[in-house]
Amino acid sequence: MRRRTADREAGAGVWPLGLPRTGSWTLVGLTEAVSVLGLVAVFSGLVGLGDDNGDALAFTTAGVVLTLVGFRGRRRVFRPPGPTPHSVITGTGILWGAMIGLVASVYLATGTIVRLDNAVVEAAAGLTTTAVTALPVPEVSRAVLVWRAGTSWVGGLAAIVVSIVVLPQVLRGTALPVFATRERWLELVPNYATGQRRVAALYGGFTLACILAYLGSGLSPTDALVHGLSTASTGGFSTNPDSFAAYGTGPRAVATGAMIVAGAGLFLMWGVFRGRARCLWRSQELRLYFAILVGATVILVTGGDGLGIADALFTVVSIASTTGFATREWTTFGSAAVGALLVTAGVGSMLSSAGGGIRVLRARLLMAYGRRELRRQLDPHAVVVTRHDDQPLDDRTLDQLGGFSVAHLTVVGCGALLLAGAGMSVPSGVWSAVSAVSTLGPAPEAVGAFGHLEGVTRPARLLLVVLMLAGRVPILSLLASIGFVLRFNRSTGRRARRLSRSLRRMLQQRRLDREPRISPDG
Amino acid sequence: MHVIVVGAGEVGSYVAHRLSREGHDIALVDLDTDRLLDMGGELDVLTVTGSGTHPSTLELAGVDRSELMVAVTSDDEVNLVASLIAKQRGVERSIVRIEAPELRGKEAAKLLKVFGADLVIDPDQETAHEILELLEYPGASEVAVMAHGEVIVIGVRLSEQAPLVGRSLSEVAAEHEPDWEFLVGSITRGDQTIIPRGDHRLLADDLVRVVCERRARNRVSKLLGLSRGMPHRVLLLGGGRTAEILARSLAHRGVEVVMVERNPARARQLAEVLNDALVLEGEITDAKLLEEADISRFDVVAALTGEDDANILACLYAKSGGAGETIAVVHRLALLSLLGEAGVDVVLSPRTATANGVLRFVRGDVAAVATFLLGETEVLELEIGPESWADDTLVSELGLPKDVLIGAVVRDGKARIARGRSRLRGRDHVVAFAMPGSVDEVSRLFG
Repeated sequence: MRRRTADREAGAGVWPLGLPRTGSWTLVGLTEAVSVLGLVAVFSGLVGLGDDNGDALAFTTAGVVLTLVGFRGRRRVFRPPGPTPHSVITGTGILWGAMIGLVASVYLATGTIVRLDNAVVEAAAGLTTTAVTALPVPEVSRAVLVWRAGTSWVGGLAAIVVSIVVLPQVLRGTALPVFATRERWLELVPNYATGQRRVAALYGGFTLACILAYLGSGLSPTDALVHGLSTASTGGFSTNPDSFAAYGTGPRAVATGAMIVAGAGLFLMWGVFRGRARCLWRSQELRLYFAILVGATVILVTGGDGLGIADALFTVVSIASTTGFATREWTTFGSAAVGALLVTAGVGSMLSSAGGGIRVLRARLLMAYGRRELRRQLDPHAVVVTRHDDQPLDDRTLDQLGGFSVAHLTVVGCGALLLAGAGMSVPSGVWSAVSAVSTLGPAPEAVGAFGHLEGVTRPARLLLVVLMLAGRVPILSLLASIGFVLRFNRSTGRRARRLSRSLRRMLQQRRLDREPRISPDG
Repeated sequence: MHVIVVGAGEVGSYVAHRLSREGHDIALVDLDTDRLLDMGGELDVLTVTGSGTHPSTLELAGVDRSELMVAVTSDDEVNLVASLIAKQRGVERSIVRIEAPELRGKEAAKLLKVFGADLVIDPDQETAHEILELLEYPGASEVAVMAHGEVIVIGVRLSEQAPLVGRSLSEVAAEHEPDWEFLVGSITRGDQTIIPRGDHRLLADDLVRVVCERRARNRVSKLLGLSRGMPHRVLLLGGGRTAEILARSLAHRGVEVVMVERNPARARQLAEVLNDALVLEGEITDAKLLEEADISRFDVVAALTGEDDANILACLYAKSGGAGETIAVVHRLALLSLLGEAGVDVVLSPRTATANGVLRFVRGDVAAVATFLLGETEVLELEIGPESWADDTLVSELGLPKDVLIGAVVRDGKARIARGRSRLRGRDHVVAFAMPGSVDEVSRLFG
């Protein structure tokens, strides 16, 4: 038995067709994602029973098929030892693209959406946890609402696992991204398996807490479920077209608190879980996160738009955590308020959150980076060390940060230009690009505070998909996966040529072997 | 007493010099034959070439009849092993130089006990401590703190404007009757150092060492023409351990610290560990760098590298550039007397601070010792033993040699400047100025 397990892990087993099992991190991730999405679809279908049984059956069926395919597929692939940075970075991009295709297929197969572009937009919005929708929310069934929120929940989980478990583990020792202190990261993610388990437990536990809190605040079970999934994942999907404008102070207060935690991320949850909440206050990232929340709230309250503190805080928290719930049409506020919200959206959530944006930590380090460069200009001999949580950062980390920021801003800038070219006004294009890359969603004018895409042209919608993907998938992964696709054709050709050469040599050898040999004595 | 000194570097050779002059039998061990030849020519010591970690080398140095091992190479491990071998061969006491912070403190105490280290010394730390004491008295050339800080010995070169210049000591004393708060303990004029008497007249450029009570230090500083208080801005040239320790202490006291270090990796390391200090990367003799650092705004510039030439040159540049006080650490003392005239305000050597610790340990019955780079005077802090005949005796009746002067008496933690009419008691601490030849006699007197 042990021997068979070892053989299976080592890839010694064979397909029914005689092909060997495949060792691939990308395929492992993909089959696991398919399984989870299948289970979510089954769950959506079951929840939808009694509302629209046609939808419920369709989702249940689709879910069963996906689950079976996922589980069967998972048995045919195994994790090869020692994933390389290249394979993980490339795999992440491919995985995300495949998941979007899969979710879009479910939308099309169940008949929820009939147009391919809308299905892709909806799938991308869900998986990237961006609060925009092409669906007419009041008309869709319960199963669709839960499925939509479920996709954002899966997308949020995948984002966290990739960004705080997989990438740092793989890049450990080469270019460990800065999350918090290295000790705190190692405490949460000592190794791949434990880290994944802890992240899933924290994320799942937080989701459950959100759902229960919403139930306690008076929401219906379906509303609580959908909002709970959307809050934990910072997806921002609501069961109402007017989002939280339809609810009273109780659900809003729960949402505000839950969004603050969701935006703060898993390190906060882990610290609280381990009873070290006081130590967390030493985190410069957390302090800046709260400073941004307070600062933006003050600007909104004093901005002359007649906003109360609770409403202002809700709006700021929703945007800072890149969730995208709304209680007011904030896009028509005064320019100071909208400007403050644009900066808040651009900065986004903390690094261990499912939210998006350039992230609070990177924003802080960028300021430090700017200070360092300014200091170097003023005093060329000065040795300036940038610190995070009292730990010095090496120049390589800061250079990586600089590279990331340039890539991020380039994507936003190009996105804004292209969106303007696709029919949006320039301010709306800029806002929409920032919002999409930060996986927020809502933006002034075309999209609005409630994230409806009816007024957005088809090219602009597809551009938004690309921008959402760029915001969710690490930019490095996106570029690497594009490079992989381009290289694939070249390498396939090379392999084919090598194979034909080998075959020719083999045949030639056989011919030689068959020829009668002449003995030395004649 | 037979003493083995392992390491003939700056510290080791100075310790050997001081101990041999006191009549001890010294064996100096080092790997560098040339250096030992030089030392052998200068000092009355036995030189042994070899490693202090080799029992055979130590045998040649006479480890079996030795009473004290002084292991002061710049390598902690060598010092520890030398101490261990010495202890195993029956040497009673051992002094070990340790630089690694990990081998100091409470955690390392057990380890050091295993290696038989009775006294741990760190020249870098001692030097940093000495500079810190000096910085509290800007303008002073030497500062020694005795009797748990109750008595302070300040050495200062008198400027022409100093209120004491041109007056005899009896005139100064008469002015401060009935309670003296300070006493001039020694005067170095040119190459000659004396223990002064009442008729000695103070002249400009005299290096005087004054003992004073802690509470009177501000008034005495003023009288000596010194300003008081820590400087606000300090420039440290060189990024060695001394500079690092100093920068940490100064930054802790709120002083703005700027450091210059030429090694990029070390500069980066310093910038990482010193949160509140600005580290500049470059040569300390780079005039452009010093100009860019705006050298004139610094109250103190301390050159602490291992290169005397660079230290002196940088201090001269700093002085000409308008910096406040300049402090140079020097290792070769040949040009010592010229540095003051050239514009270096204070000259320090790691050897003196270290030697003070060693001498105190060797003498055993001395609570503290202060020796100085210029002049041979020593300041000793001694406790009057309960059986000493000095108990219940007036200072004037002690019959002290001419080159000994009682400066202060500390009773129950309170210091008083000693007068002829002061009566000594058992367990009093006495701070005395003495020339090296009278040190033993003084020790016997109070022991």
